[in-house]
Amino acid sequence: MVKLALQAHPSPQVFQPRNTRTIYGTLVLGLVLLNGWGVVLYGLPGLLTLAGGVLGFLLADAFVARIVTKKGYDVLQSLALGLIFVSLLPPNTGLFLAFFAGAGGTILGRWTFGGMGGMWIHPALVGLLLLSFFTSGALDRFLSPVILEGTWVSPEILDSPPLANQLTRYFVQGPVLSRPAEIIGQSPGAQFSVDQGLRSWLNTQIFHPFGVNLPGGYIASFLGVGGTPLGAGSMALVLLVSIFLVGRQVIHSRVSFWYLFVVIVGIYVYGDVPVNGQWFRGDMLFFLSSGTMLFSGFFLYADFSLAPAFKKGQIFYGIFGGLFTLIFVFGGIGIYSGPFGAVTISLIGVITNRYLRPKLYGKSRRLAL
Amino acid sequence: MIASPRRFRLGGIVPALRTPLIQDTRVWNASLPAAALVPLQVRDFEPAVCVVKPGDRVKEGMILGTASDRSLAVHAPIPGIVREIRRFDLPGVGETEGVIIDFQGEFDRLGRPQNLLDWKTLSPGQILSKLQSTGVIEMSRRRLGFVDSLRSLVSSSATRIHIIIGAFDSDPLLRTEETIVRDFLEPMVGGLQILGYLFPGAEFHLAYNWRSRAGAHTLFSRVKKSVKISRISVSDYYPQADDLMLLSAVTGKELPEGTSLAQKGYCITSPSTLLAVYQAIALNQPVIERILTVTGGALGQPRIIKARLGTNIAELLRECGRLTKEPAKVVLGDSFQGIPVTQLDTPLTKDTSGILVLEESEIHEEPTKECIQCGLCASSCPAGLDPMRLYKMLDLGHSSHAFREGLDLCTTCGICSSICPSRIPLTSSFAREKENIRG
Repeated sequence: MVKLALQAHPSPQVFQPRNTRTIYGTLVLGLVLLNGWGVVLYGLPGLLTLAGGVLGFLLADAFVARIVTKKGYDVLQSLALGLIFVSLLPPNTGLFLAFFAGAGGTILGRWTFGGMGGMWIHPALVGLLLLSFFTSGALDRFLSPVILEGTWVSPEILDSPPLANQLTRYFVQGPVLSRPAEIIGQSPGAQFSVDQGLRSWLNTQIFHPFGVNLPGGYIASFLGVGGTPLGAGSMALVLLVSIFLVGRQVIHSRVSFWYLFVVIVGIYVYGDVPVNGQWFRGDMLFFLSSGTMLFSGFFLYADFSLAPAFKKGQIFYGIFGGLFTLIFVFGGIGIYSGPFGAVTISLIGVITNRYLRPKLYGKSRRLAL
Repeated sequence: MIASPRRFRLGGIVPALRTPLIQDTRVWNASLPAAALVPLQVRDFEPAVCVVKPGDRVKEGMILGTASDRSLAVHAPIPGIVREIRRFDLPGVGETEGVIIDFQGEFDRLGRPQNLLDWKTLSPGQILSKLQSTGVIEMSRRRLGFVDSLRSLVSSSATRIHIIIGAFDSDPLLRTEETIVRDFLEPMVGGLQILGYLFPGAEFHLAYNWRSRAGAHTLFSRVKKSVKISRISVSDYYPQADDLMLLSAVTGKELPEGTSLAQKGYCITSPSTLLAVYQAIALNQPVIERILTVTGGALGQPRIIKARLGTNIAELLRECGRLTKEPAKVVLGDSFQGIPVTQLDTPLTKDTSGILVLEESEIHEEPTKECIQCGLCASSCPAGLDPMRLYKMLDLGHSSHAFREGLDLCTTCGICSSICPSRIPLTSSFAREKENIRG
């Protein structure tokens, strides 16, 4: 009898190439690029924040996994979650603060609900919540970059109270900031050297011949040099990496689409009302150019682990995530409107798979033979 | 205007496969086996009653096992002498009896002119009996009971009969059906006419995909005057060839829960079955051979092969050049629902539409990991189920909850397990649970 070293396996016989390694490996690759740029811009403080946050995730996961699953854990998974967390941190958060917030985020967000298969809120968001509620303004102090720029720091950001206070103030006093540019934590009127230089060149070479003028602030935001989170500040890089993620199909891009659509339309429609009382005049591009919104749209809302599985649920999740973000934007939460919107949608997102799902095969009367 | 291909309502995937497609799709006649092992049982059926004993001389096509209501007739694929009747493990069936025939003597059919019978003199009942006695089954679908389907259709109260021919393969690696529809035009026409004779007024629907388009169009042109037929382009999403999904794509409707295709007046079949019907009725030839795809990255020369039943797999692989790589898995059928084999002396059976000889890099098999809640299983499920949720329920022992959530609708198509990045054995756990419930 001819025998081979073959094993009989149940169905299916061939698997699709995508596995957890390719998913998280792709994410890690993109996030390393984003945070690498952050480290280049912000130097040692950025590096220490990066190291603290990532180590917090890795060590906490290793420790808890050993106790809970007794099998170990997926390093790439932890690394991706940790990098998402540090991408949202101000570069000067520091080693210890980032470490403890990261460790707390993964323990509370991931492991208290039974690991990746049970969590309903992103551990990175839990880490951010910990920082915003238990530290005094850790998320409100942003560094100016050590290269490309001088010493600019937004006074609104430096002087702003902790996020928890901002939330309280919003509900008690109503919106405290009104202009979209201020709302995302930057001033469109602020002049940066790189912004000025590059803008002047672009205007002369490209825009002015077409009768268009590129105003100040956009270039700085595009490059992420205007006092932003470590990895989520540069619109150009976030956009590039997001396209890579969509192409590699490692996120639910339908959620990103609906989220960004709602946010852009919302800003366009209502953005200028609080300032000049004019509808349909909001500055969408400037708002998006901060990078943080794009980062939230592609990395937080569309994350495989948290976004709903079914089409209807994904559309609902994206639309309502966008609406919550707009509430925070116009409520003056500033640069973290996107992540805070994600925290809010997480609270109801967990039930979307159960209630927003297609009719099972053969159960639709309309389609019955 | 070119209509876009139709597809089923929910889920499905376009499989990303590394195996190159067979380029040479001519049918290659395999060498005759020196000995054939003919199983007396086919998946889904009871064993036939053996009517030969060791030492008996058998002719090509002679009956080896008689059919009953729940079993199929089995015939000798080659002439010769019965060497032994022994029990062996048949993949997908388990331990069963088989007849070993040593090739000897002359062929009664092979290489001789074949007389066409005037099958129109037969009554529909006689045609059904003949299909039963010649051992015709549904040759390339999961549900094998073709004659039973036809009988149910005869007794159906449906006002209109629809016969859907899925002229494409269940898996992009296989090219059996598209080859048959292209290269066996006359038998296809004959097969359709026989079914048209059985069910006068029946509507035929020829479903094809982009790969079988040319053959399907030629067939359509040939038969459109003799039977009422329409042609429908369908997508190459998996599992488009599944009965329920094909029905959904062709009609835009779904089979309500608790009803059968026959009750609603539908029969779904394939070109390889039409070929068997034609051979049984018009040529009086039992099912003793079949056409199949033999492919995979470990093979030197993948081919479409016509071979006698009972030929062992090792001999069929030899028809495809030598192995270029160490095979990691040999599968009978398609890459999703096929049955793996561990021994290459496994015989070719009626329901084997393909053999996949796969190397390690084509399989992407990995150890199971923790669920990451990616939801890919749910978004790909053609039944609209949430496999991750069902799996958790079964894991916690809440089987009744899982059935309330629709576990009985699972067709075990294998998509959820195949696409799962954590390689969680979803399909097999669902299949096991359904099997347990059936008892």
